[in-house]
Amino acid sequence: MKESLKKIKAFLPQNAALYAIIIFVIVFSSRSAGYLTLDNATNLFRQASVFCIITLASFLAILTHQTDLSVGTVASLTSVIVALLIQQGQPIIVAVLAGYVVGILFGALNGLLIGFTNIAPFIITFGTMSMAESIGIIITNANTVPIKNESFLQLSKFEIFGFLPVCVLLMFIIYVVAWYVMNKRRFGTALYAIGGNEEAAKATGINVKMHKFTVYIINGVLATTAGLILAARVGTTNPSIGVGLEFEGICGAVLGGTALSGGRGSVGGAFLGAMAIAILKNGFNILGLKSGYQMIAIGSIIILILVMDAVVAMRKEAQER
Amino acid sequence: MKKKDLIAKLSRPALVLIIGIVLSILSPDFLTKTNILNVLRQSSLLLIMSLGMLYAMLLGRGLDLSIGATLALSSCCSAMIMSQDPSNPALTILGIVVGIAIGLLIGAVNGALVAYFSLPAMLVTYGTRQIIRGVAFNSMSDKVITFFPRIISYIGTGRILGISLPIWIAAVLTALVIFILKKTAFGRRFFLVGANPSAANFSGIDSKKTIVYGFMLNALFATLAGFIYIGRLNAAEPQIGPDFHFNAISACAIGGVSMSGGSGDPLGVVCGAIILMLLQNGLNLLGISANWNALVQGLAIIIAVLLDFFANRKSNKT
Repeated sequence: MKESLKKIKAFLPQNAALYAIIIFVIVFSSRSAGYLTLDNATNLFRQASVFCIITLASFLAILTHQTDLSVGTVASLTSVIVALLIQQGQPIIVAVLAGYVVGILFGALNGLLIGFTNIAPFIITFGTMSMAESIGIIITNANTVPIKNESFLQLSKFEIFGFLPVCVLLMFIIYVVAWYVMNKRRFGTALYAIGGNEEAAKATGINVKMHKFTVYIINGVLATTAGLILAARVGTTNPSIGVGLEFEGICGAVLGGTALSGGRGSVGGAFLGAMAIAILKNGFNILGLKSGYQMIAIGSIIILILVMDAVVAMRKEAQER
Repeated sequence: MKKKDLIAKLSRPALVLIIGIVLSILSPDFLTKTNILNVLRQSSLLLIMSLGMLYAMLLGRGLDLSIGATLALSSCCSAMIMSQDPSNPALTILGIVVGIAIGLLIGAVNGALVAYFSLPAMLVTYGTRQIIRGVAFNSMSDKVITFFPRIISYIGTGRILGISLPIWIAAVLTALVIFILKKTAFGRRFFLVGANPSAANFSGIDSKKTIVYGFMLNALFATLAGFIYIGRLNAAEPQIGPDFHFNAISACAIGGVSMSGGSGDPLGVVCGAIILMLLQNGLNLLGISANWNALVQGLAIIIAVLLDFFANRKSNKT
């Protein structure tokens, strides 16, 4: 009996996020008639694309036993920069490049300060988080910026084959590339090694500083991409629009099986974790839950995820002993 | 005293002095009695919360993002009770007791999650912050309470010897925190647990309990700051203090509190809170938009932690 239970257990996927998604979808589809339609799925993925990309950034940081709190506000900063430049009549390509330059600069700042010192990543990125938001507030004078350029808005609006928005395709491409790099390239293996045991990784000749630096550069690029999609989706952006994404991203990654102690987790898991939270938020909106209750529900689920992660980690530790 | 400790002790007051001198050269309005008292009064509220945050950060489990929400919920609940009949002292006392109890309860839950599940405080308190704010919004349902007993208004706006009461309260609490952390066995536990939890366990300290106490004290200080805040504003509403956690953490970081726990000086935190308010005051006096506040604050955090990093590295080499 016990043996067969173990066999069934081994056969089932180990990812908590997958079960969460199944439960959420069943609950929401039973409560709302239009939930299980292609239209809503398109919408859901459109909304989720930004969050999935941010979660990937959080995943990379946590995997190497770090934190990146700046991704949310860097996304909002780049979104307002792009919106302002487009508003001034600059070509889209110039605006987008400017966004990436800013995103990469923030990544480089984080990477330099963290990779080459031993200062805790959370306090550095805590500082750059507030700087990014503040620069956005300064250049917009705390106003929202509308985008009227139709071709830029197509990034979110245009649906390939009538159901696949460009931004969702972009998000999938990013995840496929990330999966390839993390599983098939030495760079990915090195990141796992650094997260698992930094000293051991150093001993095998991995340049830990350079790898950490690169992670923050990648996060700058990911945050900028998220910012572009965010600007295109909402059509009017503001310097605080991405506040909170960084924490939700961390929760998404952890829900998807990324260990907070570093070294364990997968790209696919991060995607599932992000989708679980995105489905939850989308469902709450469809059901029209009051914002106070939404906050309570999301907060409770975050705590639940963390406790579950901790219990699993404690059990593993006990088994290893 | 070792050279390193001396640098750490004197660097913060020196920074306050330097910023003060620069500001008094740049603006003639800076070095006036009203302006200085104003800066101190603004610092006092921040300082009370930062002293609470110091307890949490000393433990080395990360920072507490929930104090703004804790302050909002506890002060709203107190206000709901007290405003039933502001002239009834029994209700006033009940309101204060309930507010403090809510604060302590939140702190205990945060601390227990951090200690007994070995979770990073930052993520736990991000989650509990959502819950606390959600409860505050639900229980207040967009109301604003403006009807307080005189004692609460007095706490926020009163003066003794021409100096605002919040400054006095902050000074007394600072003295108390210094006494507890430096002179009592209870206070020394925080440093030991933060520096090395397993060594602390070996020496007979219950590090998990200490963590719970740390977060309870942190929430208690936020609650006390809440009474001053609603007294000064003469209003309690669920959305107050969205950035309080941010300012308190900034004050601790600028005040030289170690991010990995185990070291931090209450006087450094005092300087950190004053530096933050001096910078804001300076921007204001120089006619620079308040939009720049967060940028300056972010830069100040990074400069402060870099200074500590280089100071430590140098003194470790020699």
